Amino acid sequence: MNTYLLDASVVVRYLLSSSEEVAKRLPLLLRGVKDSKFKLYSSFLLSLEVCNSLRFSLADKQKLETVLSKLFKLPIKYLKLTNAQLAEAASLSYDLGTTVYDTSYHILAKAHNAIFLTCDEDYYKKAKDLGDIELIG
Amino acid sequence: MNYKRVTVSLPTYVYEDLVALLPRGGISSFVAEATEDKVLERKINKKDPVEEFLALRNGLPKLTDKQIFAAIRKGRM
Repeated sequence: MNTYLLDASVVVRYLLSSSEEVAKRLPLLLRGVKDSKFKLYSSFLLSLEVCNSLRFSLADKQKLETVLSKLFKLPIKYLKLTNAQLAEAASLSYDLGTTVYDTSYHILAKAHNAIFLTCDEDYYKKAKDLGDIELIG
Repeated sequence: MNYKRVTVSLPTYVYEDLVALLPRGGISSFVAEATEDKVLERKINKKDPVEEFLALRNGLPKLTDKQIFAAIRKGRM
């Protein structure tokens, strides 16, 4: 069974962009989890990052509250970083020229034998050689 | 009403709050009532959480990728 780990960019872009690719991919993943075709993980940071992104994108506070209430019910398993994983993410972020946030998702994916799904092309270009990463355009 | 004795695990901070807030011997009835509420909520709201989330896309404004990544990076810098 394939296992994927979602970046916050996938969720935010699904909600706020008109991209057809993410509009097709996220529903496939979420419905696939429901049907036990995939496992879907994310970082414990996901809800915080989605919340913060929407806070700076939506003028209507109630819309943000509605999104959050639905987000919490999705069949995503949230993972916490171990101290060793955080240290690895920090070290790697220097090497790649990325943020620790971005890199920590990728490290979690690798640690849990998952494919890291991101819409962040900048991060993808810098980190694709690490493997276990897929860009959703 | 019949009762079933079960063992549940709670985070320590929740247990400590329960002990501090409830009268002695009141934890079981409090947890039973809270659980009943949650179970009822599940029974009433049979909507699919995945489909409910996916439907949100239609009611939200559409932004450019530049705006979206600027919003994400506000928390990452």
